[in-house]
Amino acid sequence: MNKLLCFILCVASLASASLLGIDALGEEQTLGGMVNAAGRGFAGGAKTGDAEGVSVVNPARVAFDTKVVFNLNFYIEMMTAENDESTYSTTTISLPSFNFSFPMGSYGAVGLSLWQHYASSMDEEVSDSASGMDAAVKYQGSVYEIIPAYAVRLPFFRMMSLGASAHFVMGNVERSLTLGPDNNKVSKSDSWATNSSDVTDYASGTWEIKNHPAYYTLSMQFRGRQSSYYFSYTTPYVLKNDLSYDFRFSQLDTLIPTRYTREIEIPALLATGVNYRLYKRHNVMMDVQWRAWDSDVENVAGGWDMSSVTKTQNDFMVSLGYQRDGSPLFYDSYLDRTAFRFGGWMKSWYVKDVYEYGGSIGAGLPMGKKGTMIDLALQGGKRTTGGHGDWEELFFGIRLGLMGVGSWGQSRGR
Amino acid sequence: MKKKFVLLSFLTIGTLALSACLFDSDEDGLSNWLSDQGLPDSYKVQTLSIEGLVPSKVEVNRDSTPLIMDSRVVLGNASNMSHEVAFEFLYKEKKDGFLKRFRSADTIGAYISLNLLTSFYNEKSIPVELLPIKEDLKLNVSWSLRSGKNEDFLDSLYSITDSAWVKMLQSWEPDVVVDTTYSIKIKESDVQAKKKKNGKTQEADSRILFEMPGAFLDSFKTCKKYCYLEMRFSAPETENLYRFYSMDSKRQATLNLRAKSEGDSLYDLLMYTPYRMANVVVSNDCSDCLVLHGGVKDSMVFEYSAEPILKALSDFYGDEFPYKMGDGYDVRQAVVLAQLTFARDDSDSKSYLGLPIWVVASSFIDSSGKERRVQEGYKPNRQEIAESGHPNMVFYDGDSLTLQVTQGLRDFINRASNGAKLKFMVNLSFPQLQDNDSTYRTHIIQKDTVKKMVVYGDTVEMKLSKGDTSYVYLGHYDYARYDFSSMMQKPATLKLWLATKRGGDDE
Repeated sequence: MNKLLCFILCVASLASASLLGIDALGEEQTLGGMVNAAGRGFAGGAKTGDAEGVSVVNPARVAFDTKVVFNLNFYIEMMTAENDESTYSTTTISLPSFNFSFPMGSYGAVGLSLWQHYASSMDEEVSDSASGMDAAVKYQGSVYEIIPAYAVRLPFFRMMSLGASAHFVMGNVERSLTLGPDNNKVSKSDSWATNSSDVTDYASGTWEIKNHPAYYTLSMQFRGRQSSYYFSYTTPYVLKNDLSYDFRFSQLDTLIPTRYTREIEIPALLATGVNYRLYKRHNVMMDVQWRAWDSDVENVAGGWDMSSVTKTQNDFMVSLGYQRDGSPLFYDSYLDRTAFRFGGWMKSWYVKDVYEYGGSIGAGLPMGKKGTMIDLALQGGKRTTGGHGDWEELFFGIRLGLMGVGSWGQSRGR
Repeated sequence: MKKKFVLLSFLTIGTLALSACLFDSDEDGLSNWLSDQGLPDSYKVQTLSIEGLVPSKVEVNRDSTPLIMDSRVVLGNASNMSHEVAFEFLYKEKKDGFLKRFRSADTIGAYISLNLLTSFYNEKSIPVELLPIKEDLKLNVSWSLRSGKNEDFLDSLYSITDSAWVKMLQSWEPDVVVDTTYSIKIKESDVQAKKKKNGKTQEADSRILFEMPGAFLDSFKTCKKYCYLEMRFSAPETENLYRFYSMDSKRQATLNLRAKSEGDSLYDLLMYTPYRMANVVVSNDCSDCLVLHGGVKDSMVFEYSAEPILKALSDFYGDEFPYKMGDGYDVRQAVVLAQLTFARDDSDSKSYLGLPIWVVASSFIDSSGKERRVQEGYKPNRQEIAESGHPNMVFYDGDSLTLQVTQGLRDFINRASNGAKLKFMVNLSFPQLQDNDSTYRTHIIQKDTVKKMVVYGDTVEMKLSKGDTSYVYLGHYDYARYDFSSMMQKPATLKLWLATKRGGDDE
């Protein structure tokens, strides 16, 4: 277990790919980056089944699960940022979430998730061909959430369930900028003093919620014969980032850091979704999420020509998806037992003028007789910007999820 | 299962092909992205000179604490400083009963043998003549002797720690003091190894034997089974400073006793090495004179008031100094290098070895809330060194002394709002051998060269042969005296090389 946790944290530390909002919160991993959701365009928060598992936006859904589910999600993203003049590409690996849910029959279901909600990552060395200077830039930030959840179907109205989850926030952020000297503006006789003298502008800090141990999500789910709906509300909260800013000349030669706390007001999130079963195992679904940002996000910044704030906009996401469920019968053909998904989404980021359009296809590949499944999703899209030097991003990602399903505590008679 | 692997393989190949075609970077792609985000890819170096700095406080620390000397010891006078040698012997009567025979012998004697520090006297890099020395050395020999009969006495002596012994030396009162005179004659050949006819090398016999006065022999006779002998040599009148090996050497100092009775054909001999040796330094300079001595732990602490430096920074950046926002720790800029230049005048100072002496600066900086002293690094300006030598030497050409105080300045500006001041310490270090060699590291000389040095107005030549090792420092102190009085009367100039995080400096 320890090895597994170490591995998860190591991969998770590689974090996410987009450079947008990197000095603010970073990229948000929608719906915990779950592969089954990603395969159908991040739609399907209302989709119920035997083993759908935890949804970080709709905790009520898990009440309809009958099997124990454990899933682990990996994400590899190739991204290229480009404007009229330049192109910069990068590839990153991240582990957006892992989830565990345990149905307890009429006592409801409990779930536990680790969600890397926001992440920023960059570790590059730059060589400026004009000045010949070398620099190293490193960003590593993660806002993690540990989310215990509980959901229960109503006693006399079994088609309805209620769920609640608490999001305990933690994480850290680090920005390191190692720079060499540019002696162009000093006399030649003075340049000896700074030759080979690198300085590192270093900022680091930790995340927590201000004045509260956690923020909360409450949701309600209805499961009909053909249609399912959910509605969820996530409380607003204030993220607190205690930062220290420093200059480093060597490991032992540093300044006393100055400390500063930035506070980021995260607005309430409203989410709803519907799943409609067309015919037997064929489902279409649609989800909507909405957050109204009132204030800008303060950046790590603290100098140079960097902007001290990231302007925000209303954060809205609409997603449409389709899923053909796999047959639960082992003697059916492999293709019949495989779940197929596709979908698309449009999302306005919390960062002003940033819009993301994406599409995805996915599959749930059963492995063996016990219900273990590998989920796979391929996704691609574009993030357009209007105020960031016109840098746009094209991305292509592969998501891989391992889902373990068991029937612990379920008796055959039930 | 096979199908799954085929599918995954296709996926991987497809991904790689996609990444190769679509996700490629321009050479300056990241650099341009950083620039658009306001992130630099280098720091712009700015320089600032602040003239007219006068220290608000100068404190001289003349350390008179005796120094335990394990490998070498000095005896004599130099630079208004008197260097005495203290010995500590622990004596235990052996089964052969030497002490008993010593007491009853017809003829007895004792001497202290000290070996001249041949590595110093043979040092080719020293341009002045160290030998010959010929004098009648007036030596003040003093001692106290305690004895005991049981092992508890000896155990109590072994339990005296170094620090306790050093403390004891400061207030030591001898039982007996005897003035003696020794005739000293040391020639160059006395310290040089000799080649024997068979081609082997015979080490130099550089011993100087100090015969103990009769009073000492009488004292020693009172020794019982165990003895504790505390002895000190001082030569207050000599103008020489003798350098000897101490204890941790095969040429260590020894106390030699001899006894001969009627009928004995040979002397009965006993040789003892000291348990500890120390140099006790007595300064005849005034305690508050702005004078530093070499070879001892003298130091001078300079403190500069914050105002002129902060004002200059404020004028330079157009910002408020000291920084008062939040907790007040200023990280808006970084001092990449700082050096302080003083006007130098060596005329009131004196060195003995004819070599320039390195002045070392150590700054007082904050370390987790406590003041800590750190020796400043030294970044060589190679071009300047080749033209006019290292700038941080005294007893050398030129009229300035430049000390790098980078860490001190960093800490001072960083903590200025908390009342920090620029505070650093200087002391005289080793003589410099690569005075104008910008290599600044030990290296092998590639061709025969003759190095010329001006020593007290005379040009002396130093022959350096191919294959010789060129060391940065001489491995021996110059017990010099440097007077900083005139230097302190003239204002110094501080030069800073800065990197700032303030934006908008692109033109």
